[in-house]
Amino acid sequence: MSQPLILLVEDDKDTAALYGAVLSAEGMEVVRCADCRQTQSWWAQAQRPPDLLVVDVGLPDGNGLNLCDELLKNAGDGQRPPILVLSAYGDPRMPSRCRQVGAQAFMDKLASMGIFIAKVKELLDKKST
Amino acid sequence: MSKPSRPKPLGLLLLVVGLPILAWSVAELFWDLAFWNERGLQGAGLMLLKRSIVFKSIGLMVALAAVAAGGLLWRRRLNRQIDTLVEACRSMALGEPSPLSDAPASLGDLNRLALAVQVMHEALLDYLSLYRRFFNAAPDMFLSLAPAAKRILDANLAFCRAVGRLKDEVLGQPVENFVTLDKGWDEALTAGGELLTGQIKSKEGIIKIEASITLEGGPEGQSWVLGAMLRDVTLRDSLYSELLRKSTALEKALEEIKDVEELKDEFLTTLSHELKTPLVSLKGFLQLIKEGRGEPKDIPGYLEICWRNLTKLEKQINNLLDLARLSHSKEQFEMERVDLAALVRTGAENLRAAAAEQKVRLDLSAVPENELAVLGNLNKLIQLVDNLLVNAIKYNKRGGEVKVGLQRRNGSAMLTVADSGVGIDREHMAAIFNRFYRADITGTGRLEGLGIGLSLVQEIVKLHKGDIKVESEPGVGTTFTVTLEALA
Repeated sequence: MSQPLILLVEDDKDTAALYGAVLSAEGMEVVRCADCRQTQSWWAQAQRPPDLLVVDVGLPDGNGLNLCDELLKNAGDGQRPPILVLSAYGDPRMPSRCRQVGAQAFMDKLASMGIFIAKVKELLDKKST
Repeated sequence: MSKPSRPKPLGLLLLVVGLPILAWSVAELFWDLAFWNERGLQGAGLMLLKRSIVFKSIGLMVALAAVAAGGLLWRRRLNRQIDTLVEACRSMALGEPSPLSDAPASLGDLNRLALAVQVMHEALLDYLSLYRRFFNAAPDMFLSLAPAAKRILDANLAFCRAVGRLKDEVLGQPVENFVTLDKGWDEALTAGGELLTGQIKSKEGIIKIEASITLEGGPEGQSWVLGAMLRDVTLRDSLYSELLRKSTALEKALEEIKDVEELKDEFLTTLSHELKTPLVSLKGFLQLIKEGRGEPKDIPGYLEICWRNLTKLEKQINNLLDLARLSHSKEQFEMERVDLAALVRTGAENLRAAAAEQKVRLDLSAVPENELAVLGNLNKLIQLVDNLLVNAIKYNKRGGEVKVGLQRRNGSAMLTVADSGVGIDREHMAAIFNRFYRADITGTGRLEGLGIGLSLVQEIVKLHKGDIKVESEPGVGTTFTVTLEALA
């Protein structure tokens, strides 16, 4: 099986570098986008759909949740990749809002890297079964 | 006062004498005529009877004439007395002293009636004085007007006091000399009834009034007597506008409190984001190093990122703490001689990398090479310059420019930081120095930073007893000018 393709949408470049490093170390292919516009242009030209979306909520030109909605509105049931939402906002309403847009998991950005990797692997496994 | 001479009751005398004679002659004649036949008189006896009837008839006619003359005289006498009484009532009605005080003497036969009128008159006077006391004690102004020429017939004390005149100076004057109605008197008099507004020109100024006018119709439907009630509403109106002003201010304050509450909520969310973001990479990369996950060659790069984020975090925390400290003046800051020119150069150098990343050019050509000293706190002034420059870079457009200028003018040091960015709308201008206010630079509703930068700048300027000004044109750019007292 080829490397899982992860689409990482994160505007803070250091945070993006961190997740990128962690995911690459696990042998995954990572595409990094810094905002909605960049993500949409990548999406339009992508060779294959990503196996997982890791999305930050607060992006410079919009909201990560709305972006997911926009990207996946035309995808068929079998083609929807799982979504992992990351946020640094301490908003208690966030998990339920994430479920509304069809995100499978929500994580606070300060969670440990071990938990992050475990969550990513769990979502990839679920998808392949 | 001499008593009027009492007219002689000749008519009465004629009646008193005439009536018995009349009665006697009627009876005599009746007697003579009724028993004419029964007596059976003949010759001289009959002649005597006839003569007696003739004399008695003459007597009857004389008595009849005397009674008629007496009645006529008596009636004229009564008419004269009635006229006197009516005249007396009329003059009492006009408020003249009563001429009936010696009624029994002057009004002869009608003296009891005159007495009754006199009693009624005195009772009415009592009532009149009672109501006049009310009339004069009333705080509202009462006027009685003659509708045709709008002249004042009567006015109470409150009115005289309001216009600052004696009653005699007011009575008979046209009411328009004192009272102006917004509608005008002519229109007010045709309508009546409703509450009107107007004013009185008094010696102490304008009195605002509310007037209600009552019209009483005359016999042919025309306005007859006019009553006007005027109320001084100057105080009420001023209290009302004061109340309105205060309640508006309160409403505004409430709105501001709500806005501040909203800002506070928003601030807490933002604070969480702004403090967590550097912490995420700091903690994450340290974890990688600690758990030995990273390649050894990558570690210096990871540490560099950690350091950068640690500095960012430190700056944020310092800004926050300083803002709280400065606005409460809890701390005494040490003032020293600071070379603002050197400080600005160093500050700008430190931000050159950040500016380059945003493709923003820093132009320092207007900052002098030699010293321009001010008395200030070094760290706070570094913070001030840093915050202004960071904002100018952050709110600039890609490929834009930040022009920094510093010059001595009239004993002051004038620092200008001008960007070529999005600018500030007039409506947001007042809010930019508010704590936690952040500009929507992307137009997407996403707000950057904690919103304390300019607020902190303002507090630092205040600490140095300086002045800060902002000029902005949307789409062209914003210029901040800070003026501090310069040292020689």
